[in-house]
Amino acid sequence: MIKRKLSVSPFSKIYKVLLFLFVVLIIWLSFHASNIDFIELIKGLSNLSKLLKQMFPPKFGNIFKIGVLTLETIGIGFWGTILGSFFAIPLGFLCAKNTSPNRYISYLAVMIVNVLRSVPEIIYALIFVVSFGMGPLAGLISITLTTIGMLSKFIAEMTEGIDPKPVEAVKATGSKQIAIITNSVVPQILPLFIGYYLYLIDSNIRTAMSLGIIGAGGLGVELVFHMSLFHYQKFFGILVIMYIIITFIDRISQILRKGMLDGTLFRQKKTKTKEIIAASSFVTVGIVSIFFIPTNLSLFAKGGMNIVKLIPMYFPPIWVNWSNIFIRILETLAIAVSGTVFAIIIAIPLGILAARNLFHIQWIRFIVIEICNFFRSIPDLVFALIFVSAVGLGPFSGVIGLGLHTAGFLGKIYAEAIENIDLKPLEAVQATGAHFFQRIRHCIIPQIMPSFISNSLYIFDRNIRASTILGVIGAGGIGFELVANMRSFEYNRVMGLIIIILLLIIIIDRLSSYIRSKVV
Amino acid sequence: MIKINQLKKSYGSREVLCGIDLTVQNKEAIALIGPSGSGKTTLIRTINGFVVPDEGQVFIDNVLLDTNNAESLRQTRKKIGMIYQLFNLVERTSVLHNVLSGALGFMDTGISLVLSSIGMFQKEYNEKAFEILTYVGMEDRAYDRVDRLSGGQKQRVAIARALMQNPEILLADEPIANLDPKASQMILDLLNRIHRDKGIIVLTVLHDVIKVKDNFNRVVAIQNGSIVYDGLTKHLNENELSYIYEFEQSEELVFI
Amino acid sequence: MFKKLAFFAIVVSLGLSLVLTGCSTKSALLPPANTIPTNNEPVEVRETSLVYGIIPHENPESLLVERKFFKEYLEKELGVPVQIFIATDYTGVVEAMKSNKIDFAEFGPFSYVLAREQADAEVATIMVTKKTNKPYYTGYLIATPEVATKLNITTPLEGIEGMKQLATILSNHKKEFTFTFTDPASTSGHGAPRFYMNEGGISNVDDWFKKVGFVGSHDASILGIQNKTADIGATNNNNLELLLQKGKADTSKIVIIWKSPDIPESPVAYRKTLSSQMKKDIVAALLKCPEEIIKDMGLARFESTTDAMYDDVVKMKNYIDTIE
Repeated sequence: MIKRKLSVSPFSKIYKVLLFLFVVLIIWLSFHASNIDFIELIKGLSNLSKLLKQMFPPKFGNIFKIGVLTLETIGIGFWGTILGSFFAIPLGFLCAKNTSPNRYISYLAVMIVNVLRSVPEIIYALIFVVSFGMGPLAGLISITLTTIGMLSKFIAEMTEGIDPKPVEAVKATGSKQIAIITNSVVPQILPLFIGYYLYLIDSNIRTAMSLGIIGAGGLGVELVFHMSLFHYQKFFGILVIMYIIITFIDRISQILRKGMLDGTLFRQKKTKTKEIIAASSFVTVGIVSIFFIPTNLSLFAKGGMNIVKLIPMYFPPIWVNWSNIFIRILETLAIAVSGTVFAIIIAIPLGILAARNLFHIQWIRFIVIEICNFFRSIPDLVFALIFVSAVGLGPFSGVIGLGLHTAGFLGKIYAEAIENIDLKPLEAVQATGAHFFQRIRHCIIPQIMPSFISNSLYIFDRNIRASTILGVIGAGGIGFELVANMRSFEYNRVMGLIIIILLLIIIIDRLSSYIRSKVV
Repeated sequence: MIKINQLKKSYGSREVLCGIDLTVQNKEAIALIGPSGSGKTTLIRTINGFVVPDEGQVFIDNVLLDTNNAESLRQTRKKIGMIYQLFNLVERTSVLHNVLSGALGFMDTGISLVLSSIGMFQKEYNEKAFEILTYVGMEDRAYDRVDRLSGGQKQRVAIARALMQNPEILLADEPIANLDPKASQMILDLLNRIHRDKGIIVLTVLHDVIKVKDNFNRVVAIQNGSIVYDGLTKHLNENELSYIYEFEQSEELVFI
Repeated sequence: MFKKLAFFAIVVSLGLSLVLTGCSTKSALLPPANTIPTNNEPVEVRETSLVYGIIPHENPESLLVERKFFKEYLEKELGVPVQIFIATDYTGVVEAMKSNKIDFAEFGPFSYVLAREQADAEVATIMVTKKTNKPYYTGYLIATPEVATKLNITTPLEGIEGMKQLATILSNHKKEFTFTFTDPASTSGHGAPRFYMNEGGISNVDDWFKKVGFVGSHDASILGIQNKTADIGATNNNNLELLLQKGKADTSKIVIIWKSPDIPESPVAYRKTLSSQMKKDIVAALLKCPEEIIKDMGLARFESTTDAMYDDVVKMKNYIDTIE
C-alpha cells in the first residue's frame, strides 16, 4: 500500500534529477553557444573600465537639440500608447468571450491581438522606417501597434475575469451590448485598467528610446550617432539624460498607480499634493510632447500608400539557407537562456539585499533599489550597444545586455517574494532541532521557489522576444539576418524571417505559460 | 519530567511571568488555561528555549536548559515536539514534505545532513512519515499541497510533524483556537490518544474550560503571570469555574 | 502523463539542438578564440588562421556566395584557413577589429580612419572598382524630381563651388525639405556630404532642413527618395548604379543634384598587431589577385596605397567630431 503510493509520487526523484540535469545541460550549452568565455568576460570588463574612463565626464553638446529629441521620445511613447488605446479598447471587448458578439469574432480578434503583441517593436519600426521614412512617425506607429496587442489582451483578460452578476442584472433590463459593457463591465475593470495604462506609457517611453537605434526617431538616434563615431563622452551624456527621463517618468507613474490602488487619486479631499503634482506634470509633459511628433496627415497618407504598395512585395515569404536560419534561431535561444541565467545570478543578491525583512540597514536597501532601477531604466539594446564596445560584436554582448536589463526587474520581484515569506514555519522547524541550512532549504526555499521559477520563466519568455532583435546592433541571433535583409530590401526574405520569429515567440510564450501554471 | 523554577520574564516594563513554579511528571497530560496576555504562551515557549527567561530555570529530565549553548539547545529541542495555533506549516509544499521536516533534527551528521540540506530524505524516514500519517489519519493526502487542506487537517499534519521527532514532550500552543468545534474535538481526541499510546508529556494551552474538564485531569490556570490554580480538573469548584468563565467572557468581549 | 512526456520531449529536443549549435556556431560563424594572438608578443609567429571582415551591403547569403572564390583564393595564397565575418554596419567592422574578432577587413574610407584611431588598423591596399577603374569614387546628393524642379537643378552641381551654389538656392527653401544621411560612419553617406555642405555654407543642417535623419544604408537612402519619404538624400555613384542595374531603382524618380570631389576608394586594412610576415603576404596576395576572382565583387583590382591617401577623409572626420 505504502510502496505503491511512493511510486506514483509526482515528485519522483528520478524525474526531478533528470529535469535538473537537463536544465543544467541547456544552460551549459547555451553558455557555450553564446560564446561565454570567462577569460573573455574578464578581458571585456577591463575593456569596459577603459571605456568608462573614456566616457567621463559626460558631454551634453547641443542642449536645445537634445531637449527636442527628449520630447520627441516622450511623444512617441505617450501618444503611441494613447493612439493604441483607441483601437485596443473595442478590440479587447471583442476578444473577451463574455462581451464579444459571437464566438468567431472573438477567435479572430484574439488571433489578431496575439500576432500584434508577438512582433517586437523594433521589427515594426524596421518595416515602417522604410515606408514612412526615418523619424518619429515610424516609431509612433510601431508603439501604437504593440500597444493595441498588449492592451487588448489585458482588457480581454480583465473582462473575462469580472463578476458576472452585475452584467446579468444589466442584461436583464434588455440593454444593448454596448450599454451592457459601459454599465456593468467598465466600472469593474477601470481601476486596474488605469494602473496598467500608466505602466504601458512608462514602458513605451522606455521602448521609444531604443527605437531610435534603427532610425525611428527620438534620443536613440543621437545615441547611435555618437556610438557609431566613437564619441564616447557625448554618448554617455545621452545615456545620463535617458536615465533621468526614465526615472522621472517611472516615479510619476508609480505615485499615480499607488494613488489609484489606495483609492486616494481623483477623490475629492483625499487626493494628496504629491499626486496632484505627479498627475499635472504627467499631463503637461504629455501635451507638450505632441508638438514634437509629426501630426502632418500628408506624411501619414504618403506612408500609408507606400505600405499598400510594399505589402505585395513581402509575399510570398521565402526561406533561403535553412541551416543558417536554424543556427541563428538556436543562437537566439541560447542568448535568451544565458541572458536569463546571467540576470538571475545578478538578481539574487540584489533581491536579498533589497528585501525589507532581511536587512534593516536603510541606506544599503536604498542603494540596491536604485541599482535595480538603473538596470531597469536602460533598455537592453542600449546595454548591448555599450557591451559591443567592450566585449566585441556577437552574442556575448547581447547576453550581458539582456542580463543587466532584466536583473533590475528580477531583483525587485525577488525582493518582494522574500518580503512575503511566512516566518512561522521557520520557528516550527527550528523547534524540531533542525540546522540552519536545513531550515533555509525546507522553509524558505519552498516558499520563494514558485515565485522565483514563474518570474524567471516570465523573464525568459520576455528575453526570447528581446533576443530576436539584438542582432540589429550586431549582438547575435536571428535579428542580424532580419536587419541585413531589410537593409538590402529583400522583402520576401524579411517576411520569411518575421514568420519564423513570430512562431518562435508564440511557441515559447505558450510553453512558458504552461510551465508557470504548473508551478504556482 | 519538566521542572520550572521561579521563572520571571518581562517585555519592557510589562511583567509577563512573575515567578512561576511548575513541575510536570513523566507521562502527565496538563491543560494550561488563562486569559490572553496572562503569560501562558510565554511560559510554554520557555520550555523549548524560544523565550529566554530573565530569571529562574527550566529543567528537562533534570538537565538545565541552557539557551546559550546552541548545540545542547538543539539536542533538547529534538526531544520536544510543538504544535501551534496557526499550524506553522510550509503551505506551498506537500503534506509529506512538511511531516518529513519534523525529522530534520535527526539528520544532523554526515551524509544525512548533506542530503537533507539539498532536499533528499532517506527511505526509512519516508516510511516512518507514512506510518505517522496513517496514525493521524492523513495518509491519503500525503502528496497534496498543504494549502488545499482544511484547518483540522492542517493541525493533524502539524501533529504528525511533531511526532516525527519521537518526542518525549509535546507542547501544544492553543491548537484548537482556529478550528470549528468538530475539528477541535478531533484534535483533542488525537492528543489524548497520543498521550495514551506513547506515554509522553502533553502540555496543552487552551481557553475553553468545558473542553478542559472533559479532556484533562490536571489543569494549571495562570493570571497576570502567576499560577492561580493547579490541581485536578474534577476539583475545580463552582467559584473558580465561574471566575474562569468570567475572564473567558470578558476576553471574548475584547475580541469583538 | 502524456503532458509530462511531451514536456520531456521538448526539453530533450531543445537540449539536443543546443548541442548542435554548440558545435556549429563556433566553427561556422565566429573565429576560434585560440587563434587570437596576444599583444606585444616578443617572438612573431605567423598566424595559423585569419578572419576577414566585411560590411553587409547585401543580404548575408549573397555576400558569402559573392566572396566564395575570393576566400578560397586567400586561403590558397596565404596557406591558412580564412573565415568571413559579416558585421552589421560600418562601425561594426571597427568594433570587431577593436575586440580582435577580425584580422583584416574591408572598410569604408571614413570607417578606416575610425579604425586607425580606435582599433590600430593599418591600410593594406585600396579597392578599385570595375566601373571607375581608378581609386576614387564620387558622393552624390540625390532628390525627388519635384524637389529638383523646385530647386531648378537639371544638371548636377559639382564640387565645393557647386555646393556654394546649392546653398544659395536652398537658402530660399530653408526648413522646407527633409534630408537623409545613411550611416554616421559612412563616407559618401555622411562624412563627405556633411563636410562639403559645411564648406559650402550649410553649416548647421538642422537649421536648413525640416528634418535630418539617418536611414542606415545607401539603399535605404536611395529608395527613400524614390518612395518620396525623403526629399534629398546622400549616397554615391557605386551604390546608385548598382541599384539601377538590379532594377530596384528607377532613374525617372531620382535626380542627382550634386556631385562631390573625388573621394578615395575603400581600403582593405589589417590589424597592426598581425605578424609582419602575414602583413606582407596579405598585401602581396591582394595585389596579384586575378580579376575573374573579384569581378563578382564589382572590383577591377587592388592597388597599393598609403595613409596619405586618406588625409582628406581625416579632415572630414575632424569636422564631424565637432558636430554637437
